[in-house]
Amino acid sequence: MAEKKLSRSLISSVAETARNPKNRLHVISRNGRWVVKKEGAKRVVGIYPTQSQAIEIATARVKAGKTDDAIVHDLMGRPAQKIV
Amino acid sequence: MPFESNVFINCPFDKFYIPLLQPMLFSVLYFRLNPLISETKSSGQVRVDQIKKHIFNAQYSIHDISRSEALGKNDLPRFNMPFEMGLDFGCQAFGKGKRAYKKCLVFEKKKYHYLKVISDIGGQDIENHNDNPEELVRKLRNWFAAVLNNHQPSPTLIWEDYNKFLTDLSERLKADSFSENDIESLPVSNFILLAREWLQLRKKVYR
Repeated sequence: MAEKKLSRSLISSVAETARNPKNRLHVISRNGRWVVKKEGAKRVVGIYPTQSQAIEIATARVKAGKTDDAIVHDLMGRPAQKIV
Repeated sequence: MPFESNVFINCPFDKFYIPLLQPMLFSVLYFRLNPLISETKSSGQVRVDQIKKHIFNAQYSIHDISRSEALGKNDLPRFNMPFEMGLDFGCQAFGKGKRAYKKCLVFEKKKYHYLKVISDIGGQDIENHNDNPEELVRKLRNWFAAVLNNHQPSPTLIWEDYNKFLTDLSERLKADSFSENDIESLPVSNFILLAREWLQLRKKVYR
């Protein structure tokens, strides 16, 4: 992809996402295990041995209406799946 | 940026290395330092001149020599990274004043692999990342906490923030008509700019 100059508004809109934590869970790898953590929270919801177990917990919380959605990250940190 | 804030990053820039390059850049920005990379802006510019300038202007360096070997049967090893690392060591060895106190971290893929291919660098700070970005963030954080001699956030916090940043970045760029491919091949300078701005606001909110 050729170098693309980013607009000031786009740069600001990306930065603004840091300001307001969403009502969202993240499923993230941690030292060979998987954590479920709410955005902006200090404590994790739980730590699980496998990603599928963590996804199960996150999915249950989304379905119960405790959170708007959940983002499942891959081992590289990239968002790989969104649970709504 | 002042010499004391600059970090020269010597690593590949191909798509296979992006999963390690992006958390490396994000971590350096997290420590309020300024990454210098050798992105050639015009064909007339000699790349090595830009690299020499970066080496001269940076107190810190990160050299990743994990790709200095043939990846496949018909591939050839790449010597750019060891060459640039040598230039940096030379700058420190023969430099005067603050350049004699440059600090560098060398990354390899597997522990002690360097002993087989470039054992002369023994005695330097050498870490392995196993091609694992989470491990790379941890090793970077611990090294910078030691050389900067100050408190840094935990590797876990940096890694989690990085995961969150990638989500925010992806969502905002998609809303601005960037395709998956555009996002994956985002120019390094764009990534640095967006991560820096995001971290500035992130720190205002949480610190």
